[in-house]
Amino acid sequence: MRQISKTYGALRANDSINFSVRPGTIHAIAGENGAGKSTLMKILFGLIEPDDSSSEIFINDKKMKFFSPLDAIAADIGMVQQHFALAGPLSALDNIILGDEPTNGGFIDRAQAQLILEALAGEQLSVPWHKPAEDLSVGLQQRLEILKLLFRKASILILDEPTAVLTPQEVETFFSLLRRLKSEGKTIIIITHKLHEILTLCDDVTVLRHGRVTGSFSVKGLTKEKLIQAMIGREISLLQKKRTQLGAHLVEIKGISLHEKTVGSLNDLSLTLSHGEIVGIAGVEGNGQQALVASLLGLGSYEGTIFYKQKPLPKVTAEIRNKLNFGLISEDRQTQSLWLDASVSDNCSIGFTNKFSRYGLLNGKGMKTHAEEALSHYEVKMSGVGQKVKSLSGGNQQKIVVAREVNARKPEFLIASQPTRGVDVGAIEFIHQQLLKLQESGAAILLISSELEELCALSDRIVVFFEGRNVAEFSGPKYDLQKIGMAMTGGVNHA
Amino acid sequence: MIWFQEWILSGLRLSLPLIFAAYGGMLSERAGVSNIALEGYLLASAFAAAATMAVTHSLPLSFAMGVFGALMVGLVFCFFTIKARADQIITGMAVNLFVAGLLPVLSKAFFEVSGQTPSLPVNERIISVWPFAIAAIIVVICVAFYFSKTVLGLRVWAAGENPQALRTQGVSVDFTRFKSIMLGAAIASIGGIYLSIGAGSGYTRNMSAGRGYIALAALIFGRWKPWPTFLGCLLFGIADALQIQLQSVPLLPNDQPLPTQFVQALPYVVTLLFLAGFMGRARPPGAINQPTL
Amino acid sequence: MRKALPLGFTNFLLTLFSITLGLICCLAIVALIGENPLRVLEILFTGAFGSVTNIGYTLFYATPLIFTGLSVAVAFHCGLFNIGAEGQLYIGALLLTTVGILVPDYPVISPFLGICVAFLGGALWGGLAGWLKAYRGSHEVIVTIMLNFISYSICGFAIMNLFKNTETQNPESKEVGVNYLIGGLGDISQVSPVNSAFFLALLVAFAVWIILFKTKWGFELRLSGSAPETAMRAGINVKRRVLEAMFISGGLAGLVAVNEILGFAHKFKDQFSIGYGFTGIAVALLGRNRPLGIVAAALLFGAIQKGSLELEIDTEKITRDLSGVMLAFIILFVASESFWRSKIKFLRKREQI
Repeated sequence: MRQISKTYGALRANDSINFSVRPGTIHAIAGENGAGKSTLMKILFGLIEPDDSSSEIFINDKKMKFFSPLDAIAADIGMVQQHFALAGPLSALDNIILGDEPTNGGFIDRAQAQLILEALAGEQLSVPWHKPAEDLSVGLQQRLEILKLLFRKASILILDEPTAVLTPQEVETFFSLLRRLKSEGKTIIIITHKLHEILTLCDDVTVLRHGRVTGSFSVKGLTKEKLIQAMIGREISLLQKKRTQLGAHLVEIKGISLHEKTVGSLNDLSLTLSHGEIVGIAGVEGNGQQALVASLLGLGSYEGTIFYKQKPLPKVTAEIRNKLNFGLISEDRQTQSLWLDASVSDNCSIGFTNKFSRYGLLNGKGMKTHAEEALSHYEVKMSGVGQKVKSLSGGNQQKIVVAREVNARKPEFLIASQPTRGVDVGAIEFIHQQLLKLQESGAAILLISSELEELCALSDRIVVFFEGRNVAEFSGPKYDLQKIGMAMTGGVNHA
Repeated sequence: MIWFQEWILSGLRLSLPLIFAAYGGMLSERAGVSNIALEGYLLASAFAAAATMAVTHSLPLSFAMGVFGALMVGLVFCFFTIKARADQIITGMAVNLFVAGLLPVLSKAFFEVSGQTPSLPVNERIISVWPFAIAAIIVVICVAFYFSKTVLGLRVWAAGENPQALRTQGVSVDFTRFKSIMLGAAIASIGGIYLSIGAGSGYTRNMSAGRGYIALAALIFGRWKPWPTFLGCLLFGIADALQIQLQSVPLLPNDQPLPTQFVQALPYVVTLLFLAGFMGRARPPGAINQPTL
Repeated sequence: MRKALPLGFTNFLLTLFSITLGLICCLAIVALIGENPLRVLEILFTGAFGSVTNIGYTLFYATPLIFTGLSVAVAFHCGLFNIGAEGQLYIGALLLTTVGILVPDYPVISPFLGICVAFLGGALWGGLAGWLKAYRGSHEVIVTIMLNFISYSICGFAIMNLFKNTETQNPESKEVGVNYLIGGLGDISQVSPVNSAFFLALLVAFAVWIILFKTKWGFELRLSGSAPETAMRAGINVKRRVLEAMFISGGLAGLVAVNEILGFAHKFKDQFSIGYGFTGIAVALLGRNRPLGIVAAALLFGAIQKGSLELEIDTEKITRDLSGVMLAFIILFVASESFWRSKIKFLRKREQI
């Protein structure tokens, strides 16, 4: 790919990128969140068009133009997106054959399709063909996505953050699958920000930062430091975590159970948090973390009791949010924490309107000042607190949420679910510092994160969730990632 | 007993336009496009068929024009929802408004009378209900197979649940939706044709009387699935028939029938009760009412 | 890169563009059926603004549109499609007529009572739909449409059997008590039906603006409509807000009865509404759900309404239904504005990071 550029308004997602891949290799595209990796690959797959005609794409030295995925598929390119593109109620088989359905006399011939797929998949890639895609586990869904590519005879496979949803054990299986595919002559491009993956699995790596290529290396002989340098341009400073005195129990969760399709299940879960403690929850998404948050917020009806400051927690959301000083950083900021169509100052006032209303009327000026104060050290890129939140980048949006829930609210208990998702490294550091400051002031923090490194850096204790239970507990400050990974997949006998 | 028979038969007849409208709507709703414009399809096809019949006296031509009328409406709807990415519900309402406003103007322009076409003599109508009933059964059976057995049907289903799944497999979601909407318009048009040159003697102003909306309610009742929707249409048709019967049945103490207005409201009340009672957890196609990104 | 124009100004231009396009499409159809489009345009314009009488009629038609436009807009702000303004205004009229006939009237307080009662009637009908949506999960579009049909039946029955005006064959009710009536606007009210309900409408529009954008309740309402999950997690009872929004929305529609009954006809004429409820949707859309825009849009549509009545009289082939066609075109173009915006470089939004 040569001179690829893609601009969205004032944002240059890709800036004159030159990029090439050797056939039959596993090539990593690395970079932090927002570096432009997905955009580049979507251009290759025909989902997005590059800016101008100086952009060129060559496959096997032949110049090609991709206006839609159909063109890319015709060139034997396939892509698995970060958020799987599966039609839920359709069966696994149907999802795979979509677009190139084998037919017999005008009707779809599923028997024939199944034969083809069974031969293609073999043992390693077999999935339950007739189960609805939405009923499959995440690991199986990923197999499904890869089968889609193989069915359409892709020889170049693009995978976007494929291990984001896998446990450490599943990652190993996945790696061996990729190595097998490579040995069959396929070329694989992986988009990732995980250093470990790049250094152990891949042959070459291209690093992007802020839409530009900052380095193209062969993995042989590449050091971790050099890679980090290319990815973020500077050294990461190690987080200094002070030892804190734990206070009294703040939150006591005693044997709660919950079974709801939308948030997941909890099976007799118990957990305690003390003043000044950061408890990290590790676990593959969907093992009860969301259910726990829902219970704490009164959004799911559970059996059992939760005590807050020795008193039973109410089960009505409005009561909890208006009377108790909880902070909430939700994992899906766009739909759960923010009001995209409104201004920054309006967003900062969510949950604070009582403070600004007299006889029902809102004090707009007060809200603006409040927002400016809360965001004062956050370096949010915006034209002022009047700007609409939906036009801000993901990282800046997250900063607003954190500023509101941590700095403005000064809660005694903070629920932080994926607090740095989609945020660039500089901001991650800052947010972590804010969380630690909050802890030093005596607050308890429930930290849920899919980034094990984040959990290890911040938590006093790490608790592992599996199938709605608390199956293992580890104490800091040093953690054994292998053991945590084992527990995440249920490989631990719990008492 | 005869009363009962008459009622049920009448109900079946009245459910015919609902079936065509509901199935027409199903095709587009399953593809992920909310289609409130069913009323517009019915009116347009009713008018086109009746007007053509009055002028040409030719049955095949009238039928074809009826279908064509609905297709034109469908085209407008497609342009604004698919190409121009307008909100589907607003576009649907606007299309209905457009058709309801345009037809009386056209009828005045062509036939001197605003709001209706010349009354058709008996030999220019399709008196027997059988052709339509058979057509309805064919539609119901075909659609039942359509979604799972045909290529287009499967793609339509996918477009409605997660358009991204289709797009990444190289299929144009917009084109798939376009085909569904047009096919749906054609099916719905049969309902309109039935109304004007089958059951009626020409087009009259607003003759569909909300049937397009009731068809949507039947669709929700049937959870967008073929057979349950069919059942829904039958039920609503029977409620409609009941309303007509009751207008002449002495039910009140002083041997008077129930007030006309109350009885006429019956189908709508039934629909409302249904929406209040059963609604709860019906799950519309996943991607409905979101324009393709 | 050349600096783009401010958003508010481009919005206004775009709206103007949509209206113009709509007008052009409509005139195209006029030409197709054999009338002279320029003549039609002239009649439209003079019919709406050509004399004091005409202006009065335009304002008279605009007044209900302000109410229904506000009604639809309030619902929109809470994420709801209120297609039921037509039914809500009728039930408001029904309640108003009932009270106006049965409850003895006194000077000064009766008009205020009448206004409150009209509001209450519409509010109850809207609240019913709101309750069904919030607590039973019913699709509000179909519910409100059904409620519309049901309201026609209820009102028809009430007028013909309970309050019938025995002096005439027309389907209308008896007159309400004299002291309920509200005054006119001076000379203009001698030659046209416009009355002080017009000022009431302007007042109410201002009040709605304050409530929606300057109060805590309005803040929570808009948040609930735009980001319901966020609202819920912030402790707002979203279901309550939905109910309240439909209640207020219905009430606003009910105020149409004040214009019609207390200001003009002094009685409830069956089916008096010429699609005010549905046109209100277009008004809200064109006015971008903001009271100021709604007033402007209502004036425009009032003009179109009066103009097309004139057309029916002055031309051979065109009927008043043309207003529906024009309305529909304008709605379609406004609803697809982001598409037109991208096609016209001049109007491109200034994009931000």
